[in-house]
Amino acid sequence: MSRAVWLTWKMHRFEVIAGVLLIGLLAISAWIVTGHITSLGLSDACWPRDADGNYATNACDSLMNDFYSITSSEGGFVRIGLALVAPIVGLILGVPIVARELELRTTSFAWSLQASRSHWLASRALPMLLVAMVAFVVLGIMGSMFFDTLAVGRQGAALTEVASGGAALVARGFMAVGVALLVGALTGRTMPAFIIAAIVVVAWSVMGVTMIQAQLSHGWAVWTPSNDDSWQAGQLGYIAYVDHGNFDTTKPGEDGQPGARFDFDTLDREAIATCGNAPDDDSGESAEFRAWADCADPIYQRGNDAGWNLTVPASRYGDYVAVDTLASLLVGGSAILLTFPVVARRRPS
Amino acid sequence: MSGRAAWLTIKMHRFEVLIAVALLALMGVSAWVVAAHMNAVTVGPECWSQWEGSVGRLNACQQAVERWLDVHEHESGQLTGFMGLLPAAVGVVLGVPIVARELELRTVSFAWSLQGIRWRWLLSRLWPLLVVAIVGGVLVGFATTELRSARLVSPFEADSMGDIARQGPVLLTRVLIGFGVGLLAGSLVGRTLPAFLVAGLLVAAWIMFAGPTIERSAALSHVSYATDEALSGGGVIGYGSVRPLDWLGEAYREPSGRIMDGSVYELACPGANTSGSECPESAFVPYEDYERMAKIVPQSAWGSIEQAETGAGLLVAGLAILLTFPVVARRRAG
Repeated sequence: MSRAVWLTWKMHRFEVIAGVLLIGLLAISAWIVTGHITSLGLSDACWPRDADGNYATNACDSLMNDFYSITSSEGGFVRIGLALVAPIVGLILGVPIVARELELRTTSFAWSLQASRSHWLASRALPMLLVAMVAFVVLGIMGSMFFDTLAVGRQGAALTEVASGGAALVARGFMAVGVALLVGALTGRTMPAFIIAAIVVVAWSVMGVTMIQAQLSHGWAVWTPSNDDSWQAGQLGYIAYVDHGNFDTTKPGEDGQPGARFDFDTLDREAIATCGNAPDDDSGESAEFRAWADCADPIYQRGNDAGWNLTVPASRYGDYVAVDTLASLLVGGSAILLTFPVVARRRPS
Repeated sequence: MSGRAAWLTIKMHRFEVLIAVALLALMGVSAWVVAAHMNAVTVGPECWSQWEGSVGRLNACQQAVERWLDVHEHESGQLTGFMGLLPAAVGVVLGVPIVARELELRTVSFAWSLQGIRWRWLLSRLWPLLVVAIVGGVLVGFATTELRSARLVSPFEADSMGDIARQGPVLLTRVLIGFGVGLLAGSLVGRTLPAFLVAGLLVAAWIMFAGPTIERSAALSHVSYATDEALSGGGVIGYGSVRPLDWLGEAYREPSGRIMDGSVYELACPGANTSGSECPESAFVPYEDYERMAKIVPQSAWGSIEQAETGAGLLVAGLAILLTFPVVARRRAG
């Protein structure tokens, strides 16, 4: 086995070095930026904010400026890297495992030396998979530390960043390795395999994951009044937005809605019945118009105050991460398993 | 140079040619269709100023503006986002395998032994894919120029510096830079996937750093100044009467009419910040005596910035292609 590992390293050293270098650079960057944020010394004492958006003290205002300055520059680059690098490295490491030997036509010789092709594939794929997983775990830990640190400034990861840290990052990278391995075995050429696998991984990450999340959001969303001021406490109220509506809670609602949908025509009629028609005054500054507005505004305000949002609470974030991790492991694992019959039945050129 | 050599090259790299042609066709046709959609919505010149937003009941004029904006936002906006990276990526896909694949498959020693001179071999491999890149780039360049013209019909729209590289001749040079750098990286590295990654990094660096630097340098000879008033109002529905291609910083106009860059503090006490010395109160010029202005790049600079970036791009692409010849001439075959 150690000979197989040595041979794999010799064959794919460029990919291994490039992948490890990319992951290492990003992990170190994430660690440094995490240190920068931690050294600010932000504390919970800076919250809540007042209605004008000021933090608890002037010192907090200054610290938060520094915090935003870091998160919008170096922190922003790290976030982009955490979202992209693991799948890219997965592709770089996964594609050549089978494709390169098929392309160089060395497989017929290699397969004749091994008792079974499955054994050959395992001896080629496992060392690369091991390198990839160790690198992903390191990056996943750094990603989690980075996002944990953002919490001191009451910032969280967005739904598009579920795979930017922890187990989900490892799983997303694993998925890319699996897809790249399978596509490499199918196409038998490295560059076409890289391009096709990249398209598949991007499609999965952008469309597949988004569709799954949309389904989950519809199931997990709850109606909450839209006029809440949780931003002052700095707590992210929700992680996903699904719908909005105005409801009259004194009447029963349908499909879990908090009340009957508000009928704004009814409000119009009520305003006309109570206050008469609005005076013809585009400027809205005449005494007659102001008197009408004083009478009608409370009626319309009832409708405005009745706004509700159908959203998924931020506390559900961990559930999205768990589903994303499982889905990525399933796709990656299936792709790796499928590679075995493909290699077993493939022509060596 | 024969037709057989061209056929062999296309056959060897049919996947790359198919992908490149498909992507170029997708970009070109999409740009052309979106431009046609926008041109098909007839908006009277008087209608733009009547539009007040998608609220309330809209008259026919406002509805036309609304339809145009809808096409612009949903079709044109998404398309131009792809025009930043995709053309160069197509160039890399076409350029990388030309030498790298034959080196990797170790077929070059045989191929080189059949040809008297290596540069002739390279030329015979190079030109069919270069033709694909140029023809595709020209067509996409034309289609994106059409899209730009269709967009600028609206007084809401104005060019910005970032648009220069997403259309016309600069877009073509991005395809050629990708091609040239991919070709050179392939002949140096001798393996397709590593060469693809190396060339991808170099081209991304060009797009993100070198391109904008060239644009900025070219823009510096066209700097002009605009008042806050001209930038914030006087145009249609609250837009400024002056719409700059780019902002370069702040400036101040002295009562004498002289315009100076930078903050009033720096004007009064040059170097006080860095030397740590105190700036005496008397040195401050009364702020209200100065008119704050913006240092801008005017729309009229578009042509010369476009020429500068096109020239630089063609130079880099041409150098990369030319450099490949001595690399191939001196390279070991395995």
